[in-house]
Amino acid sequence: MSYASLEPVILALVLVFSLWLALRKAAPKLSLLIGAATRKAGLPEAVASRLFGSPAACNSGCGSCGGCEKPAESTPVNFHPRS
Amino acid sequence: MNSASLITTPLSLALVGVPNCGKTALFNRLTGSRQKVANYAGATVERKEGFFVLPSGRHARVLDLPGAYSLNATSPDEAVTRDVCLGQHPAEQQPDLLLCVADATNLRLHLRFVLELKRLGRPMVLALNMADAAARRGIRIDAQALEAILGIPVIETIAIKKKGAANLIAALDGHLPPAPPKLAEDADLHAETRRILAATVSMPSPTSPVDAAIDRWVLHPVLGLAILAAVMLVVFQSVYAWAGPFSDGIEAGVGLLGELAGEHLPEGLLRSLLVDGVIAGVGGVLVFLPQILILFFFILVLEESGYLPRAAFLLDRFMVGAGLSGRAFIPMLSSFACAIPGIMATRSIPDPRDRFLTILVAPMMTCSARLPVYALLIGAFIPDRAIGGVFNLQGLTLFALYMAGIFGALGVAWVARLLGRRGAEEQALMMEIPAWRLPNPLDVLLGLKERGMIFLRRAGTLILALSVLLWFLATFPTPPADWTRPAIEYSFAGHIGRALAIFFEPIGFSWQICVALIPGLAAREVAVAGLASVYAVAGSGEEETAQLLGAAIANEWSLATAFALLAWYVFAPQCLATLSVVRRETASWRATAVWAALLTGLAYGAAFLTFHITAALT
Repeated sequence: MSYASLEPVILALVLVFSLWLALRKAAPKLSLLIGAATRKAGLPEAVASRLFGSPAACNSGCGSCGGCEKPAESTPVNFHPRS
Repeated sequence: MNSASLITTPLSLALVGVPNCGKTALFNRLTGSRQKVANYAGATVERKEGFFVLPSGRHARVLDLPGAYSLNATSPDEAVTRDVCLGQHPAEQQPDLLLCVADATNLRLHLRFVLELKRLGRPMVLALNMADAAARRGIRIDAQALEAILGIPVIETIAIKKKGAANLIAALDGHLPPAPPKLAEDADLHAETRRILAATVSMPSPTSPVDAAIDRWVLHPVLGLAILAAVMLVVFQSVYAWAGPFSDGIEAGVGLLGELAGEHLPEGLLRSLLVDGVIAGVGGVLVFLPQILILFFFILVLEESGYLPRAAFLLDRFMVGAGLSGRAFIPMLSSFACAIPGIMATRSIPDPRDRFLTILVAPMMTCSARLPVYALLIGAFIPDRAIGGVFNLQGLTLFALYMAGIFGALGVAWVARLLGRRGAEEQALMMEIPAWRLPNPLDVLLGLKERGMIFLRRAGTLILALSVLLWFLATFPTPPADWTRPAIEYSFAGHIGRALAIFFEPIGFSWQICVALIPGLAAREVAVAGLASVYAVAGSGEEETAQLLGAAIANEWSLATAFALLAWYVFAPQCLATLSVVRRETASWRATAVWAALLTGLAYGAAFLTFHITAALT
């Protein structure tokens, strides 16, 4: 297989991967909705969760989507008493 | 209950405690990923339930109740906690056991709430969380004596450590502790707290005379503000003075990588993707890592030293004068890191109107994601010149941008209060001033590592993905056979940029800026990657474009355009994650739309004025 014939395949793969990554990172709620639709359409739970995220395990506290409570509890101010 | 029925009957626990006691960390430690998150019906209060199995095989269900200072609820969050603890919540059964979490480093604040819960006469266990931090600070707590006085099991925990809850889990695995003796309804809880602390806790040292002497200067109503301004000025000067060599190093590395890829890959789309998309996009943002780390180094040092609460105290007068609640300070301060935790922290503001006003102005605080955009434009348009022999003009400009955000927020709050009701009851800021202490270098390093990793993770995921997508948009469709204009103008990105430019032209934005604003919706710093990709694709074949973004925009943009973009970034609510959090916290699409429209209008107006005034003056 020549480089020229591989190039469109690689580009397509990179595009699909980037779309998926952008969806997971920039629109996690939309990703969860798509995941729910794929589950209904018959995609196995494990695969759907891996691809689109699992609502049950989403409360990771990573702070990247703002979907959980952890960032609110880590305020930069320290309120420890003087004595 | 016998052993067999103990195992078959799930144990129902409720985690309860004052905000920031480490309750959620303990919840995560106990339940891992076995959690369900929802909202309490009719409220924006989050309901978090988790499950775990005790060593005996008995199942346990844990409810992570919202943090509360008292059962006398002053916010919707606290009302949920009160109702569940009292067994009065319509959708929640009364838990078998209250697992009360208290911060061992701050027992004076937390113990009062423990005593209030004890009044309920329900089975309780007290988790003394952050026991390691308390020990490090020299705070000695006699847990056995505390247990004897309170009449409930007291267990030390370190929620952030893997085995930090092992003793707690072991203690939960058996018969429930008996309900503690009830406190008299008229007991003075503050006096009781003082009495218990005196009997069980020994603090390292009382307030030192040195602390008091420093505070006389630092908290002085006039001198204190001057010191605060000087501290902030030093911080922003340092961001520029120190970051230069590191940024140059990264820039050179990115350039080298682009050259290597250009040399070793045959001409074609794949090379363009790697050089103009990935390396230009991600590399263009990575260059600003040193600035972000230096800024956070100062924030962490100021936080660790105990200066930030003092700054809050100094600024409270201005906040209240501008019409903001005293409680708005923490959300606004948190927003310097990211608007999302800032907006979530507004939950502590009980008045809905005050809360919305804080949500409105919190995103005007300059979040760390804006720093790459500011740094790019300042580096390209502001000369690296000393002012008065001491100050650097670039550092002063960055300082001015941060101040523009702060004063813009105060101005908007003031106008909103003028237009709204007057004479509303002011919520005072109640806070304890910590002792001055030398920052622990390890804690500062860990904090920096955390910030650095967050930035790098974003660069390696979101920014990478959006750079690739933007490259596709800027590359396809390819120009027709008889093309005369630059190839990128025939692409999707070119068409989108030109369509948007109709709206943004009056504020001086070129179509390339409009294209970059689209990925900037996902995260503000991606706009830099967007610009890098657009200019790299536009100049395809010239690999050095990746590291010359600053030079490219300095050639193509006017000073007025650069200043207008800076003004836009001070106010605009571009980040979609912030938008979704505003929707969640306000539980109203209307309020979210008003929020977005006000900030966008403000940004457009500020950019419009900046553009035309600068154009007239230059």
